Amino acid sequence: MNVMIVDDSSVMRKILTRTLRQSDLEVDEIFEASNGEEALEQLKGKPIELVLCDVNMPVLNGLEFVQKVKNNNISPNTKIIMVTSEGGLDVVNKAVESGAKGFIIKPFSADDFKKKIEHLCAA
Amino acid sequence: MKDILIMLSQTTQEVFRTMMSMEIDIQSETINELTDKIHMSSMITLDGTIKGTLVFHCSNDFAQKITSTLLDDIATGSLQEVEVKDAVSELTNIIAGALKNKVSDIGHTFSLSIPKTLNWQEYLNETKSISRKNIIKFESEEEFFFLELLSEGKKEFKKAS
Repeated sequence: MNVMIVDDSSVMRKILTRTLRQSDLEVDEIFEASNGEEALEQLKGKPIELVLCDVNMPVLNGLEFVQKVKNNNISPNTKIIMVTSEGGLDVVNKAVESGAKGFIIKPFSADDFKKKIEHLCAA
Repeated sequence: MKDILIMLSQTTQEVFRTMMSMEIDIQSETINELTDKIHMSSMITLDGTIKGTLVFHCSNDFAQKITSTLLDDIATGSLQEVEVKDAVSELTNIIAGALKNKVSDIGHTFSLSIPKTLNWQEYLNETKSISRKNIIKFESEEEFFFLELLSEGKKEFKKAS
């Protein structure tokens, strides 16, 4: 499957890329976006099965991105998983209500991340 | 205030242990001066029932070490400055987010800004009129770093009423 990582931190994008490649998921291409706006454009034009999305980002944040994807019916079969340092229930709940599949809270170990991602993707 | 600092210390240790498999020790809490060599400071503001700024201070060497560990990259010499600043910003962001989750258990809530990382001189210029308080010093394998809680404006760090 193709994956898109949406995070304004290039370091976090690298960490997630590495962890994905080390997981048991069959990952083909990994695309990157540094904010929700870039992510929307990529999602409209490319076949992406999974999106890992940060919450706090400039231009268009993660929650706004999920809401736009849902409201505009963009790539409806794509699974979106929020990856965030903010586990505040209000933000996470809104994202899930808007269509996110689930969330992973930082900090996470590589093993925890792999297990969680594999579990959410299988669900 | 003391309970917030204790939570911050615990949170920081957990972040280092989880993300980087690094054990860090608390050298001292609530010191009033930033001693030892600091080259980089990463700031993130808290706005809610707790108002202020969380700052992560470290040397260039420690920043490189953090970046290398996060990226699982042994060749620290090849790290770009922008990459190192980004890593320190992200680490500060994770610590602040973890603190936010922890203090929510005692009824506090706040939003976080996007972190900003400055060199030491830039940081001093931005905060020169603020007296230093609420600093925690940590040690990891003979390297030191600091976390500082600054008040909003120039007042003592305090909870919003």
